[in-house]
Amino acid sequence: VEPRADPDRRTELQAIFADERRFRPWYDVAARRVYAYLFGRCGGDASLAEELTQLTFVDALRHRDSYDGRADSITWLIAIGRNRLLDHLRRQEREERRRLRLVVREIAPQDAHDAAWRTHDERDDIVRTMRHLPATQRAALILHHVDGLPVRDVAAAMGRSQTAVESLLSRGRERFRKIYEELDRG
Amino acid sequence: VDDDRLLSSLRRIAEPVDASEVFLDRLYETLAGELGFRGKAPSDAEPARRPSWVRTRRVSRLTWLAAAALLALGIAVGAAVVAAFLERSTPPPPPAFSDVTSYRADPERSGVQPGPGPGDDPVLIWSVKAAGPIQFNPVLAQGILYVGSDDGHLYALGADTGAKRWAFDAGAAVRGSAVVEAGLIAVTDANSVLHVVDAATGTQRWEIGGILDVGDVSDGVLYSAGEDGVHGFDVQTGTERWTWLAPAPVPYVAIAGDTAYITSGGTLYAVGLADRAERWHHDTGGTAGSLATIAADRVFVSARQGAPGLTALDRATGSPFWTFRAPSGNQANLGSIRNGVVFAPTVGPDFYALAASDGKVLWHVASGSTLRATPIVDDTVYAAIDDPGGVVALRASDGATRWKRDLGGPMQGWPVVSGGFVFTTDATGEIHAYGDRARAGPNGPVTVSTPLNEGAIRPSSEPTMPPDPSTVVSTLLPATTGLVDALDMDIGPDGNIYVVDRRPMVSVISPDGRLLAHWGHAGSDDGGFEFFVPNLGSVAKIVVGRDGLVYVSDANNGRVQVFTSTGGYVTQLGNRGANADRLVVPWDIGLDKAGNVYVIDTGLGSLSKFDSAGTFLWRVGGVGASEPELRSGGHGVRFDPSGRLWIASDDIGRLIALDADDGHGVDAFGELGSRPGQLAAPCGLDFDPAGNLYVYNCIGGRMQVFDPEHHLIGLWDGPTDDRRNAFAFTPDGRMYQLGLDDTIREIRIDLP
Repeated sequence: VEPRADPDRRTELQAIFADERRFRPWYDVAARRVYAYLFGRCGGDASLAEELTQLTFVDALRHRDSYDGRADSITWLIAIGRNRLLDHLRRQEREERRRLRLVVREIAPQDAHDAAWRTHDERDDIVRTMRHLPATQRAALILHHVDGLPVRDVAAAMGRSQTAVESLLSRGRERFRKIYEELDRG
Repeated sequence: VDDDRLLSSLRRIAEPVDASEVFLDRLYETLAGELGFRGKAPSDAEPARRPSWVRTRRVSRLTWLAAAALLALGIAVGAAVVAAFLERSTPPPPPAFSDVTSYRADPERSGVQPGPGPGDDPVLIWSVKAAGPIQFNPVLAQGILYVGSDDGHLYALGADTGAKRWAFDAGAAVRGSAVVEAGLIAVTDANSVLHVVDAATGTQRWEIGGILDVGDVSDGVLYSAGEDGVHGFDVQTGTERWTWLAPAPVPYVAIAGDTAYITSGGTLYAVGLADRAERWHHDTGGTAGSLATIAADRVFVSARQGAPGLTALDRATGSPFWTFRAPSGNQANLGSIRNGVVFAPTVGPDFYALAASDGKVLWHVASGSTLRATPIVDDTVYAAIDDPGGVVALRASDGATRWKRDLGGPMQGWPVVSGGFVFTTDATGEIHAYGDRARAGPNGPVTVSTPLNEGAIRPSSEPTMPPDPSTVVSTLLPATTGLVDALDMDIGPDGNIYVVDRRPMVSVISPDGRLLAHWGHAGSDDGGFEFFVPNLGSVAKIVVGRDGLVYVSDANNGRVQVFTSTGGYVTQLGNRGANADRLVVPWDIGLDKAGNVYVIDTGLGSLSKFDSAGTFLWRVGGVGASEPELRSGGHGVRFDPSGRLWIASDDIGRLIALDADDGHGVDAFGELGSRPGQLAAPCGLDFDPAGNLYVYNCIGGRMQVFDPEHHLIGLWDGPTDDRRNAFAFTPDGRMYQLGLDDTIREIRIDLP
């Protein structure tokens, strides 16, 4: 069932944006939720997660009149955050396809074992593995396996056919598996 | 990792983490400012003199209206008499169109346009409509107005009539700024792709991704703001000439004199064009900064999102002279500057004229809405009105309103003032030209109803097919060489041909086809090979150094073995351990003049460098790298005459040049595809003695020759391959190529 617009929620959010005494407690909850949503999906890149969190709130302020109360305000924020993340991944995909800028990762033999990516903390490995996936595969895995969107919705969000999304998911899983195993072996 | 663990691992990504309290506090302050919790109420600000169209009382407005009606009646009667007289006289020629070839009209970004503008009562002369909103700063050159639209097109319109000359289909919304130079126009699209297009025909010359703002041209180099820094491209060819990597994405760059003024995050950097050295930097105090404006000994920059203020800096040192903060707390920007007066709109109703010397307010008006872009022409400041959309002309000396026109939607681009016209664009996609009434035709304004994007020019045109420069002059058959499923070959300094095949065996063959030596056996001992790699098949590469030593990649044993030219075992590089010098599946090998060895490891997806003694030096790419370009390793590893190391990335169809000292990227070109000049899984490359680059497509089997400027100058098609291609040059420029049938062909190359 398609949720309905809720004028009360809309009024409530407008009141929050108009009064700092109400804005502060709402922000304290919302900012942490949005950041937590984005952090893992950004491959554990804290600065990127912060940037996208900021853009999410700026978007929300700018488009607050479009909020119709269909979802609660934090769910609405997270949906904006997801769109921001997809925008970022689209840019990254273009970058991967079109641009080649190599940066040296210097590894001296003596400190190879200290390289940060060799850590055996499982969750860190998972998050870092995501960072090493091509942008489109990462987007498909996040939307489908992490956020639980059906393939049809993932295809709509990414502007691709369902077949293409299935293919991205399949290749993404295999690549994830390969990279994760590589990290796991240390 | 089985499927269940894979999916449960993926779900762990959603586990909550704590955000930095510093970040949360900083963001909170930004949002509180945006929401007005930190600013003074507008009534606290200094009294504003409102422009005439909003500042009068209702009764007064009615009086003025009646007076204006009487005046208009009088003018109309008078005009009719005058018109009857003028009908018999010859009208003066319209003013010529002056060029406005970049955002804010000049490299210093002063906002001063040459004009001329219309008189005080302009009328609509023509209008056309794009299929999408316009968020673009138009430019004008040679009487052509160039406008980008969210409908994905760049339009070229005759400035006098609005007639469409051409439309270029960029494939994504064309936004931001443009620059016209040497018959080309550069724009960026919403996917951060920079397009350089022939300004006369709309045909694309070249494009590159990762660019946020088109920037400006200086000495034939287009300095553009990118996601990782500023890049200078040869405007004619797209070859990268200049790079300055920034700590954060660069939304703006201004070029003035010998210095680039680069905005990155909340910091403005002054960087020398000649030495790429940072001269100074200035922290605006905000999380983002504006485009810099340069005038005389000063540089002006605004802080955004955090501490909104407009600051004047010493151009030589970056030291601040003064900072202006609007009493409303709203962000103040530099709109334009001329003769020591700074015109500063704010993100709000206030508009200021400031003294450039000390930042003091000269005059101030408060309009009904935000004024944005404010070019100045003669004694008039033209301002785009945000909401409701419009354009207003203010007298520069005191801010008095000269005229105002409403538009269909918010105006977000800069007006262009030229040839007696003011050109406006708005969020509904409309493009208007306002001019003096005498410029209007007898039937009033011309409104073009034909969709502008009809007949758009696609970005790429079919490249021409270059000649086939190859002629086979001799053939060595496997019946005489004894080769069996050859995998790779190279030419030694002795002129002999060294081949590795699947048996596994290394063979040394004279130019006339005699087998001079051979060695090898299956195994993992010294001199043993395991070329077969599960899931990959048999792979091996061979290169011969200037000293005659022979290097063979022993893929499944995870090492590169080194032999004398007669097969004596010398040493090996790499191992299967866990150290940084490990090799998992070594494949392509390269040697530089100093004897250093470069190995592509397709298992790690990386490129490693060892010195001539076999000591590991560095590795780039691989699964541990945050950069995507070398994750699959690539192929090739050959050196151009200037010592740059080239590899072919078969995954993305690019040829990449690296600095052999530290492995950082210095050049790249190519795109995926099967048309001439495009790369379909490029898997082999080498240079002839003249520095021409030969690249072999592993899909389609095409060999292509690029000159040192990356122009395609030769091409021939071979059999479709499964990576078992190989070719090499003798020092005198003869090419040998290994065929799938184990035949070695000597090929003469005659390039144009």
